[in-house]
Amino acid sequence: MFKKEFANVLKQTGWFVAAALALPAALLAVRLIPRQPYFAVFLSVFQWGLLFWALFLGASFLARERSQRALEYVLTLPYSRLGLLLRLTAPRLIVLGGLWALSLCAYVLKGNEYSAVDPLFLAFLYIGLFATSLSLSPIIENFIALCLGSIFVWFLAFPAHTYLLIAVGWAKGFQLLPGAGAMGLGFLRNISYGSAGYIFNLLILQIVLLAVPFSAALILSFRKFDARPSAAFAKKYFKTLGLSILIFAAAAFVMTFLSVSMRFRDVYLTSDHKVVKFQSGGARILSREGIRRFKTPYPVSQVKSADGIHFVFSDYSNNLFCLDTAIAEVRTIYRAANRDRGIWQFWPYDGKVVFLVKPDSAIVISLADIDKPTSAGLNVTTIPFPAEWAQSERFPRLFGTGVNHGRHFWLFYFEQSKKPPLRLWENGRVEGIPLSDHKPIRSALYVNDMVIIETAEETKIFQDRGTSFELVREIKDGISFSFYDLDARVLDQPKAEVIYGKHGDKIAKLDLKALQVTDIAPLKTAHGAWVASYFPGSFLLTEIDSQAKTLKVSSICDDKVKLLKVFRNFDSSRQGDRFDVQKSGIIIHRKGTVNVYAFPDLLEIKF
Amino acid sequence: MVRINVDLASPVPAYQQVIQALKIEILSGRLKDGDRLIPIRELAKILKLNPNTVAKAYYTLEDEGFVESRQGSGNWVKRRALDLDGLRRSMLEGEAKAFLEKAFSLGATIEDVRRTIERIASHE
Amino acid sequence: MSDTILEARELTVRFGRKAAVHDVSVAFATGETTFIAGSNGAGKSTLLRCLAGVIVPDQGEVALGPGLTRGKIGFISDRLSLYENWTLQEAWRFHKNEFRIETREMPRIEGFELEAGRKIKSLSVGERTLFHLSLLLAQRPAVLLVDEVVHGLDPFLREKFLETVIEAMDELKTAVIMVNHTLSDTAQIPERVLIMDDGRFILDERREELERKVKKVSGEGDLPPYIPCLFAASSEFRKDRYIYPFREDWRRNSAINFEDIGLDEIVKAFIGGAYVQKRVR
Repeated sequence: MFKKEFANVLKQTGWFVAAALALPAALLAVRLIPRQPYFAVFLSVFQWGLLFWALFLGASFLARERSQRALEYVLTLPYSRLGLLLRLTAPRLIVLGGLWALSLCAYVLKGNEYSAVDPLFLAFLYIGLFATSLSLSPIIENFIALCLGSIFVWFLAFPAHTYLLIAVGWAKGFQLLPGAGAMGLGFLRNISYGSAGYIFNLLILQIVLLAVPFSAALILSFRKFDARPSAAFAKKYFKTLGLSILIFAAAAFVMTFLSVSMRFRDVYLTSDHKVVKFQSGGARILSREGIRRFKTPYPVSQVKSADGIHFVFSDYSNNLFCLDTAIAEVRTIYRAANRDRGIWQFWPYDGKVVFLVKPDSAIVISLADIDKPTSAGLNVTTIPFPAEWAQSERFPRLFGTGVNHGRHFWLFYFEQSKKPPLRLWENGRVEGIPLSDHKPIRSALYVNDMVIIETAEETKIFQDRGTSFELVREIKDGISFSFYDLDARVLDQPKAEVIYGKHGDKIAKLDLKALQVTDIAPLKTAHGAWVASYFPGSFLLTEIDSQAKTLKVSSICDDKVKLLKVFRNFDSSRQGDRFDVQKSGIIIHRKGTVNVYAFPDLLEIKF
Repeated sequence: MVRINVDLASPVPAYQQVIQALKIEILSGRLKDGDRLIPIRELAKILKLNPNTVAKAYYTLEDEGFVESRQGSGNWVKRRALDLDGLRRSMLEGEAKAFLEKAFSLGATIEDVRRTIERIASHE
Repeated sequence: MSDTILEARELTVRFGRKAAVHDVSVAFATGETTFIAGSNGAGKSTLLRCLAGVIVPDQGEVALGPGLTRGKIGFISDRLSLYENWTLQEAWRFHKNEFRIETREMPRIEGFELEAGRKIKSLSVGERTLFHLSLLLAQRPAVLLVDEVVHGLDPFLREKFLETVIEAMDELKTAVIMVNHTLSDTAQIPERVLIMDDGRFILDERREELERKVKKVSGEGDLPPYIPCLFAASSEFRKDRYIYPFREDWRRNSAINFEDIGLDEIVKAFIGGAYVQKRVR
């Protein structure tokens, strides 16, 4: 039975794979899809096609027997019901697993060139859908009804569980239920494997929540399965299903309940050595005087430090706030007017915060003063982004700002996009920076009236001529000079003489007068090492050794590298381990614990 | 070939009919001493009888001395020289009884019967 | 008394609210031939399917006797369930592997040839039935469960079918349990007769006993009240009364003519009687 079934499943899968490969090949051949790397197209089609195949594999359980009238015959075979279930299910699981492994290989092979959905996440989706359709197939005889029913259940259970669990948070007072605009990009953007966000765990639980109860219901009730439309079987099945869903919902409930308060912990160090902790429900300032708590009506989504005293943060309802740690007060900077006006990106600098808002499909730059007292009302100036740039598929990154002849301008580049970087003036005028090579930009810096852009193979330097930028130097020796821009922490850089960066496997300096790159010191290993300027004038070399599990922090000054401290037990592969350099110190997250070290000597601050 | 017909409607049980028929075959000489009887299985298939039924008939025949069963090779005719006449007579009596019952139920007298028998016998 | 090879214990099977088989217990002995007869919808097929393992009873259980495995039970029904798109060769190979049959060649029924390359769905009902039977017999089953297939066969195939089953009875000592209610020429085959009505057994007797215990009285005339009448069929031209259970001394003590009847008529009388009882109820 197993061999026959396996052969059959393989045969059908053969058709699927052929279709998954043939269809995009045909479309590409006829140039219906714009020129993209073949591999990326195949991979996407394969990955998503596999989802439908998972559904089919589950739904086809007993389909052949039913259509060929062999069900009674199969039940006379010398196997117990469970033995039969195993022999029919195992080939399907094996084939599904094999196909998934194939897509995993392809995913790994693609490298970082193209993006594709995380295969582990997809695995959960496949299993959930497969288990649902497999489980429902003895109950629903009509194949189409079965497929639709499975998809329906899957999608219904999905958000139903989300809301069930969110209701927990509401009861707990966190008001997890997202407000205006939160179900849009902002909320979902937190779903990524790497993030320690509870949202992802929620999703995993729900997908598992579907797979496990449905599988349990099938296994436990299949003993009573027979050829008649059996009330006994259906009763047992739904009883088991209902019970297991309840059990797992309760488990998910409890797990989320306990873990909700532990998630989204962002810790900051103020310039006067207070510690600020942001959680989904609000913020806490810890100082020698004690703890001050602030509650926010909606969960906090993003936080940025303005000047070490003021912290600007957004919430899922797309409002923007400023936490003033000096006077322990939260001020509203911007209130989202309706669902569409969401905070998209924001950057604080020089007593202001610039943020992008996205009403409809336009992008608007807004400026607000952080320092103005609340009673004076919100002070927001807006400058519309030019329409064609708003159509960009990628996020614009603000990397510099300045004033020229009394007019403000902002410099943007688009992540991983073919669009060149641009300068946007406060009167709405747009100027492109002539980067013509269509290579994805890794980082950009605006300093000394120059724009320095790093791509994969070279580094280009453009000089600001007042109304345009002119290419003045290309560093093209095959290795780029890489300076880690860290989301452009400081927008308005003061004049500098040198920048330090990574040049291949050496630390190098870029002389900003001569525009020359000179190697200074070798790096033990290029991978895991970053040279970055977190604050103007200071350059740090951070090296992560994944084997020794250490983090080494050194300062670079006057062409010399000086080791500051080695932090042990830092495992970059462990989820949640990360370090955060701020103006007055470094915050290290290791295995769930947080330690704060203050500059200049990186001594630990304890509370 | 052996002539055995089982009348399903008859009140006489099938295995009795088989025994009777085989006895007739043996007594008449159509089945000779040393002949092999049709295997149980084949007779059961032909007559649509349970093999156990046929087997029972053969055991009875064996008990009464008409047949002997040899291990592995089936059943063989074995005639006992003695009492052949006695058997013949008792079978004849049985057949005659049945015939007379039927004849009398038609309303015939013993005279009618005698005349009819003589007429038919003289034609043969 | 031979050993019990297959036993049903307090079986109850429901279709919706109605019980097709109601608290039925019965044991079958090794090599025993049983016919199950009954009115339509009496639950015979359902019982057989429970014995075959095709239906899981809502209550009770089916117990296999010592040494009996599911692989030694053969089941064939008028639904003739097999993979229709397969050829005979494929079906045989599959069956052989699943039931661990050692013979390599496709089993044949004497005098009945089928091309191995034909597809099952191309076979007529009769051909399919015989093919299925040949598959089952290759298992050398200890129990053969046959559900109402004989009526659908043409006379030639019917004979082939019966002969094949009889052969198996003798060679393998297979216990045959057959649902069959138009007995005609098969009346001499069963050793035991079960009659079902409304999910229950109304009769469980050995055939010889039954033939002894059921008599028919034709013609006019009343019967003394102590004579149990199972069923009476009367019209303008005929009046038949079926007596059960019959006692020999009644033949001596009364002038009534008690006729012996064949199994056919006996079964008919029981089923008729059951219908009468239903109407009364």
